[in-house]
Amino acid sequence: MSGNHSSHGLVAEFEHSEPMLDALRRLREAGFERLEVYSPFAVEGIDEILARRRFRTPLVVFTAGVVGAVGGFFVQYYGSAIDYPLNIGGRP
Amino acid sequence: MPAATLTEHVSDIVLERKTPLWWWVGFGFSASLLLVFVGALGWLFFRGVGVWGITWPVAWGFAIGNYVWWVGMASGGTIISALFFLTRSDWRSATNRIAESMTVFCVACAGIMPIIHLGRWWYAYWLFPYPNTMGTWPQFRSPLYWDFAAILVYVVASVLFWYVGLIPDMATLRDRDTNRWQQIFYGILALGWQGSSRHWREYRATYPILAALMAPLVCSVHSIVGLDFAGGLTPGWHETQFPPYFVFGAVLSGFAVVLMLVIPIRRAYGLQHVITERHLDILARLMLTTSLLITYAYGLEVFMPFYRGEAHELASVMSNLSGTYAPWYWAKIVLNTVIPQLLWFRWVRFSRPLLFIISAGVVIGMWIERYVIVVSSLHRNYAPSSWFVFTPTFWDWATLAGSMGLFLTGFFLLLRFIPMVSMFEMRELAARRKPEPAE
Repeated sequence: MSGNHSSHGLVAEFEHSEPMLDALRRLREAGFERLEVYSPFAVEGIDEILARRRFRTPLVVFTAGVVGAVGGFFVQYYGSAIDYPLNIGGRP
Repeated sequence: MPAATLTEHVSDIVLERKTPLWWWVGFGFSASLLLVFVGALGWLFFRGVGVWGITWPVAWGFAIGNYVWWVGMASGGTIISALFFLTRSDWRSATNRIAESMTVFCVACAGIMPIIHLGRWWYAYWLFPYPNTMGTWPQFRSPLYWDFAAILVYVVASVLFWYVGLIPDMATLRDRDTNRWQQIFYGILALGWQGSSRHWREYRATYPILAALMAPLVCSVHSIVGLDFAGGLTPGWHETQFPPYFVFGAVLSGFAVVLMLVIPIRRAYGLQHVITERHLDILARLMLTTSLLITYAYGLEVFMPFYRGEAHELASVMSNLSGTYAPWYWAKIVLNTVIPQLLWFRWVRFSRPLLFIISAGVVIGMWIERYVIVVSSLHRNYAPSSWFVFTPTFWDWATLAGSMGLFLTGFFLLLRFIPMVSMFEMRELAARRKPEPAE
């Protein structure tokens, strides 16, 4: 909201998600940037209208997975091949 | 049913309604069983594993059978909530909270069993790979070690999955509540959830990832439980089919225990319009499918030793079919294979008492299956001089009954304090359903 308005914000309530998405789209086209939607369940399409960044969660999970896999393998390799080599039946 | 009314109904069970009498009776019974567990463990810790009937060569007795049984039932909950989330099956939203809550406490019971079976359980932390003064490491090539890792991951993941799916509902309870203490309690659990589109965005990124991790995790956990046995050279254990065999059995008992919980809960809480006959029908069909899968595995279990013609394996199979443990063996066949065939009939699937009885039979049958696998295989090993008949002691049974007490106590507490139906998922379903008739 621009500074020359006397109000600092506006809250609107919608019964259904379709009119809400329409209103959101129109507000967005009118140039409003600071918009937020509160809903009792996840509504499809809000993020597209608000042009938000892509999720970072998958990247974090993937990185953690790679770190876990490499780290786990390293612990096993270090434990049974370097620090305390186990030779079972002549197999390394 | 309109979404708002549903939310009211489900949250009122937790917030408004007076705790019903059946809850106090059930909770009292469960807590008494939990006391039995405490007593059994206390005596075990005091005297050692000798209080059980296990000895050489049957060194794995009830504790390991119980462990496989509990972790198997846990898997059913995860399959329902994770796998059917990924396949976008709407029906799961009505039952996933019950299934996940069941999983959490089944995994808790499962996790305790191998630890108390260790004998010197106070050295359980040796399982962690940490640099120690002995200069040793765990044996990473042992399936038993993989099992430790799998269970640890499964405990953490299923609690997380359950809790992440609970956060929006905790916020609903916080907002609907009038009692200060409950507001604080649920407010803390809701982790500041406001239902803003930003929050939903994060939720919708996190939950599917967790589900996608959980679905294969169930299969890997149970395959590794199977490998615990397949990795041993005991006749009757050394089977390549064990990993899928154990997954089938796990899922079968999982569906059965979900049915056993869902049928009374929907009646007691008046949730018939949420958990409909269709849900019970689907669960019954799934139970029938997994019963057929496990039947196939039972067939192979008998066929393969005859196909290979190895004397000790034949002795093990013949002892199952007609030896000391034959009644147990045939009980498992009747309970897991024969009786579930009734589910082919529509009227059986739509009869709740019958469904409950068949499910109870499967749950018992699956315990018997693990008992037969563990004990009957060990009692006929390669050296006939060491053949031995295992007889469970009072403390064996007390541990089994007590672990049920732990499960039931936990479940009754959740039943009282946690909404048993995922309210926000039902709201989403109701909202999605609404436009259909208009079109």
